[in-house]
Amino acid sequence: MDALASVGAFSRFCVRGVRVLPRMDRRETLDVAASMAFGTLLVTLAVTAFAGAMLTVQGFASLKAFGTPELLGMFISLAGVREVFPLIAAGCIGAKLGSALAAEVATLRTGQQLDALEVMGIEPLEHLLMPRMTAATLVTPLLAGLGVLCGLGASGVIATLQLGVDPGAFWARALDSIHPRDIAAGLTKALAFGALTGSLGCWHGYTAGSGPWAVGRAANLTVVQLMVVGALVNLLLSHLFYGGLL
Amino acid sequence: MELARDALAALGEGARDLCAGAARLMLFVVSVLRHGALPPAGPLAEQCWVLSRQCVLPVTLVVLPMGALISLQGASLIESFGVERLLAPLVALTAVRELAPGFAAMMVAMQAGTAVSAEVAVMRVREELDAYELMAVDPLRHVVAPRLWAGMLVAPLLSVLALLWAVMGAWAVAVGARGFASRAFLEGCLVTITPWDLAAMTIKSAVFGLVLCAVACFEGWYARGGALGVGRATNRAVVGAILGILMFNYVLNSLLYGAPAVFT
Repeated sequence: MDALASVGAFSRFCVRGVRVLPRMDRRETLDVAASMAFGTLLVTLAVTAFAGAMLTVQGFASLKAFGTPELLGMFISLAGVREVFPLIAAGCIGAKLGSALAAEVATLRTGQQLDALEVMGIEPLEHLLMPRMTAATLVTPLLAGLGVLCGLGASGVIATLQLGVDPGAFWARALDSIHPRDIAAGLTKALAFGALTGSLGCWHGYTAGSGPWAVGRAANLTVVQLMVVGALVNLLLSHLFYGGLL
Repeated sequence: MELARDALAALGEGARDLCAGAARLMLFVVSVLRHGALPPAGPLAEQCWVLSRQCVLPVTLVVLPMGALISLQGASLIESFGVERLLAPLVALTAVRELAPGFAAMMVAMQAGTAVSAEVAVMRVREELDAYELMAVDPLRHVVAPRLWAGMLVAPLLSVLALLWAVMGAWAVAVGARGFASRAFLEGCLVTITPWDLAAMTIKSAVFGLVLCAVACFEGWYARGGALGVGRATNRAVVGAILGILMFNYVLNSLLYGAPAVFT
């Protein structure tokens, strides 16, 4: 019952956020988006590079068992570009931005600075929360796109240098198997993940209790719920783009 | 131009912080091992219980759709090649090699990583850790070491759970939506997973659990400055844990499955 009530309160919060969208502080949005992008770029690239390396080593081992290691490029495109890279990138961006957002807003709540803003007649939703939600929504697809490129590049490096696959064959097969639909699916998923990250982070920060405990708890709830809801949304979007679930 | 310079500066700073952080993390782990190679049994059991209780539901909720996803994508791939009998081996191998250890560790990183780092950080900013030291109770041995070992013990158990859920999710989609034969699918999964795969899964997830709890405790231990510091510690713990898991995943994959031309 409590869970249902908080889902309702969360949806009301999101609807209120969308309503103040025209009055949102645009400058703040851009500033926040830039700092989010720069702060998350390195870790996204590192994580997707390792994901690419992981997938390549595993794919090579499995394909060798079936006697077709030359299909590695195709495997990387189908498994990596379609699902693994966008998912890992969005998950990592979401974990970093979501926990940072939740902690930041919860700290403001704990220090009663949100109340102070309201007393001064500054609506936190317009000037603090909505810019952050929008920035997270915009930045995630951008970074996830870079992450997918980085993952693909890392796969190529590992396949050719560590595993000794022919570079020409690898890239030809990899690029042949990427469909525009895969890119659209990846960007849509990243957009959905970004919106979830921003709204969940701001919501848990906004509704945090007081004390240092509450800050940790807000970050914890944000990342866990983000992953759980994100996994479900990912499955549904995969079904929408590729079909076959029902 | 300025944007590019900012981006480069951010990248450089990030790389430097990463290396410095990794070195400090190793020193921290060494000192934990020196102080608490054998942690007290009571706190250890308690931490194991807390960790598994916190993580069972999130692991279930995340891995079920993931299993369904590999089944969904794998089925369309495999049907286009006309080799339907390979779906079960594909799903089982993906689950036992990557999905189960990886996602179990990811969820422990999300759930326990934030909780453990926040817990230790709160103890730090409220000067409880200093109080322990004053009372001649070694906080590294009584607070940090149990959490570290609990991560190593619980992550393999959770990965077994994740393996079951992943196969269940995949089975539901394969049988319910794609019309594969239920019995043949489950038998295919059982035949594919060898004891060696299970051993590799256990090793991988134990390493992941150790790494992510080490990062979480490290960030909590060095937290500074009130609520803000706690927030920063949890944030850095999550990111560091994910990064650590993926790095070790690559290294362990190369050692356990790969033909590592680089290493030979």
